[in-house]
Amino acid sequence: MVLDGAERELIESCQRGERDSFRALFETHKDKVYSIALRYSGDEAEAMDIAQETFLKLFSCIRSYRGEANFESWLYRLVVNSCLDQKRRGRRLLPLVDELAAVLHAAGEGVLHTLLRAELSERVRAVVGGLAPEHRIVVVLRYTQGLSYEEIADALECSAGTVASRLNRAHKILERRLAHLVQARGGRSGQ
Amino acid sequence: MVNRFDAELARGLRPVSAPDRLWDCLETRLDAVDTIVYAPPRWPLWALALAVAATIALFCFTLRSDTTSYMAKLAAGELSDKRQVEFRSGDPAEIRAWVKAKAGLEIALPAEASVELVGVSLIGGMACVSYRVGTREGKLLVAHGGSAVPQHPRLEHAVYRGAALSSWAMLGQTYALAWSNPQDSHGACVLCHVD
Repeated sequence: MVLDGAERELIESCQRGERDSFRALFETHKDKVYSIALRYSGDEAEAMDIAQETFLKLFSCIRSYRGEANFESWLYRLVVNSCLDQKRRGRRLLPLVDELAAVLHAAGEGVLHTLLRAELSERVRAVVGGLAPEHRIVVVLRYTQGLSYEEIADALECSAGTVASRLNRAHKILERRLAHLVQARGGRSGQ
Repeated sequence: MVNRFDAELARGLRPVSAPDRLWDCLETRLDAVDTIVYAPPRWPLWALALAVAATIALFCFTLRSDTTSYMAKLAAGELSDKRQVEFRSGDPAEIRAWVKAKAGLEIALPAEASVELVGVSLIGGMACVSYRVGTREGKLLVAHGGSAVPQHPRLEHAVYRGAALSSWAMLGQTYALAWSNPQDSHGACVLCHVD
């Protein structure tokens, strides 16, 4: 993806230190950064820290961005590094109350079905959270942002082959750990 | 099997919206780094300071060059002007005392017995000592200001209007010497130096 005129102008004004422009850049990318941080860490407070660190790094080094690389890839590198730099603290799953609230607000579905889906999603996140960092970040970039192998390789500064290998390994672990849940739902998970 | 997990993974890891408070938290931290990251670079200040220093040095050098050049030409003019000296004396001590009293300048005279002192005049705050060595005449102009080095380096002489001219600065005073024999410019030096 090549920078369009508006984004280039926005980045250039950020490079001049204009705070309003940085706010606009933040608004454009905040969900992306926060989603990766949350899905990687599994913890809202930790995700807030990672997202802040990422934007602070962006703010500090945006002057060094020369436009040779895709800006989004550059940003992914920053958030990946922030994730991997984050010390492993006692990770916890998303609060169950959030999931329950989502269930109670769900309309048009049976409560049991919704609960099963919520349980499965939570279990998926727990299993992903248990992966080694290098496997976990690949899975998060693939499924949270839908990045291609090449885009993930660019963000991680490794080869696409390495990405494929890590993803394959992660899939095998996930398959082993999630199989019983999928079977328990009678194969309805893909609906 | 893999497709089935893809769907579960995509659902379980779906993107979320960032909390509104993220910017508020970030903004306070941005303020802290703002002054560091976007502090104006210091090199223009250094460059400006260097340029000012170079200009001052050049001005002083030019001023000094102009001063010594002016004094040397003035000494040459005094040499060709046969007017009477203001204080006539052949006594080095008297001349030194008169110059000290009138202009606050220090002059050590002479080093050689062959030097015949004629006298001294004041020209705009400068002392102009007149002397002879044999049939040759010399004028030494002394003014305040200039380098504080204890002694001058070997001098180069220039010829101007039939006179050998040289100038230098030392001990906080500037000197210009005009000598009537360009072929033997060092003959003038016996005023202060043993030949």
